[in-house]
Amino acid sequence: MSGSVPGGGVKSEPNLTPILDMVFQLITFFMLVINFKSAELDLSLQLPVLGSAKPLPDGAKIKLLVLNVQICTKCPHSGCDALATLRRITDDAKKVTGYNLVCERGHEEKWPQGAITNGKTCLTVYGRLLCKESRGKDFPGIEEYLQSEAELSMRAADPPIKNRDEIVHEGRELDDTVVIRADSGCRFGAVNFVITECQKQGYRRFALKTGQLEK
Amino acid sequence: MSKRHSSEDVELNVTAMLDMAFQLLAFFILTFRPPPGEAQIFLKLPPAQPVAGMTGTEKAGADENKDPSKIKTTKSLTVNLLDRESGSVTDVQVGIPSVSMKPVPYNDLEKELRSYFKAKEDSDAGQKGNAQGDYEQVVINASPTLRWEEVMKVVDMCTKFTTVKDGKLPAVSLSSAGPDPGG
Repeated sequence: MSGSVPGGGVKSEPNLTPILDMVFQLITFFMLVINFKSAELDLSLQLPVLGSAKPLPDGAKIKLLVLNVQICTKCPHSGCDALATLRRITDDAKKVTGYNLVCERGHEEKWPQGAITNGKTCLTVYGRLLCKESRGKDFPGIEEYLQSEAELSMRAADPPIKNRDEIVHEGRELDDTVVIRADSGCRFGAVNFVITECQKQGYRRFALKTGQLEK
Repeated sequence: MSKRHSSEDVELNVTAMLDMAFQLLAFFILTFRPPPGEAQIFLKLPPAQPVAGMTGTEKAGADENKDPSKIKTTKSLTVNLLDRESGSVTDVQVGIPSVSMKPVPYNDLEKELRSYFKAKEDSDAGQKGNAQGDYEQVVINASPTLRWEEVMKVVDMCTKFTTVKDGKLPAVSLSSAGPDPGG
């Protein structure tokens, strides 16, 4: 809009309507493609790549419990008592060029070994590292965490499962599928520990995640 | 401005709306992560049972002698994967633990499984194949220090076969040859 101002000059205002239209279109695009579920995936894990694995069909209605399994160790940074996990350093072509240990407090140290051999078994749940033993209120032990998830699944079952006896003695099972996202370098004992703990809670259906072969 | 109706042109101030829209846009751009290309192998994994084929509804010690046909047994083939703590497979044994376990070179494992199960492509083509026996399950018994990737390769191998009896995928079961060495 333009017009005269008392000084004699011309007042000009940009027309914001087209930019607003474009911004709303961008917002619509991002709203449609946003996926909050990916927040539960630990994208630093490198999954094993296999030929026969199939992607989840679109619109599949299955309840999933995602467990990111990896190995952690004590942070090598002096004076830090937090736990650290392995991060791969990749180049532009996604080729692994080295390894770092990144701890919960953000310390980052070079880790030339490339694998944590005798570390602790841990689950990554929304950025928290859960170990076999509890580390306080916000960091329950793996068994404790799975127990609380199983209780929610028991309540959500149709008909609801009232107590664990129905699972142990009457052969009922939880409907949820446990998605095991384990790092390819993780030891089998750690994954088997998590699977066994899930079985104790009544989970029977498992999906072992793999990366997809590049075409 | 219309002189005829002597009223003023009303224009909405869109600046505030634009500010808000930019904030929303910034939020969506910052939280956007493209979904990773992932696939999965679905398995039904019941817990390890001390008695072969016993279902959860059966009670231990129940008298099955009255009707032996009711005893459900699953014939399992065990694949032992040993790593001598190197993380990679060094020794493979195939067989039934209580009868005999045959050492097999790792590269020949798929060929060995072909003698117990029908290859999926043969099954799809309606061909008989050379497989003998009525095994329904593969128990992968791996060293706890073995890398997960190595175990998954064997799971992947097992999904390429079907049972001779009914042409279904053999049930795959995972077990560890020892406790998890980690804390």
